[in-house]
Amino acid sequence: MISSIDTCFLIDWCRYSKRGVLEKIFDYCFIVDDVLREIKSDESLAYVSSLLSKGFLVFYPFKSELEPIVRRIIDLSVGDPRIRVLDPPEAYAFAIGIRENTIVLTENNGVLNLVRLYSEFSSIRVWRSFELLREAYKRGLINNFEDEVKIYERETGHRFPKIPRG
Amino acid sequence: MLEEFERDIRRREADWSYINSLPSKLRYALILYIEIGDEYKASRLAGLSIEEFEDLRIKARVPKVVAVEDESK
Repeated sequence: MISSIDTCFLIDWCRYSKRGVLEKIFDYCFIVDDVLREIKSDESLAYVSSLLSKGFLVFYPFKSELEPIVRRIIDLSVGDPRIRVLDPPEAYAFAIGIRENTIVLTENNGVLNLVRLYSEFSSIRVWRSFELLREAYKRGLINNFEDEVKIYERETGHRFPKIPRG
Repeated sequence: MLEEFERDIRRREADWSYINSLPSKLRYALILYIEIGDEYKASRLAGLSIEEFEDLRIKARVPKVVAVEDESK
């Protein structure tokens, strides 16, 4: 399996103590080069550098070819009040997902709503960290899903509340 | 509304005394994040990289809220 990673997702994932499961789930992950401008800490730089050196993180080589797709999805998000306007990190990750049929790793609500509300995007697979942890659990890479969610919440400052009914 | 639900949690858990002690640029960036949950926009307003903004968000105890389906029901 191949994924495309939103910069914001990767930066949060860097903080997770069991971040190595990412490499066990995917063959490789596409990123765009602005990720490097957004990372400053030694620990995150070391992690990203190790993933680049292993060839696990791959700079998407056809970025300029994504521009018509990025324009289309940003136009949609600007024109539809149900969708928060997308920014470059998530727009590029989503565009790679559309073009290459990768699993898009993002927690951006704008992307989630585009997939939910527009049939042209309904086949695009979008995973948040919650779904990634669930996949890790299904594959036996983590032992206890509920405990691991709590660890992820603590280490990355996340909350995964259940959607209220009604 | 899901976005309101997530916003309420961010507002409730935030350390407002810390946020209010910050210089304007950082304070308003965190308030923007609390309102819309978008770290890219908030980091641009703060003049920080996304990672630096995430450090600030965690210090200010503003959670990244990702509402998930309750599969036990």
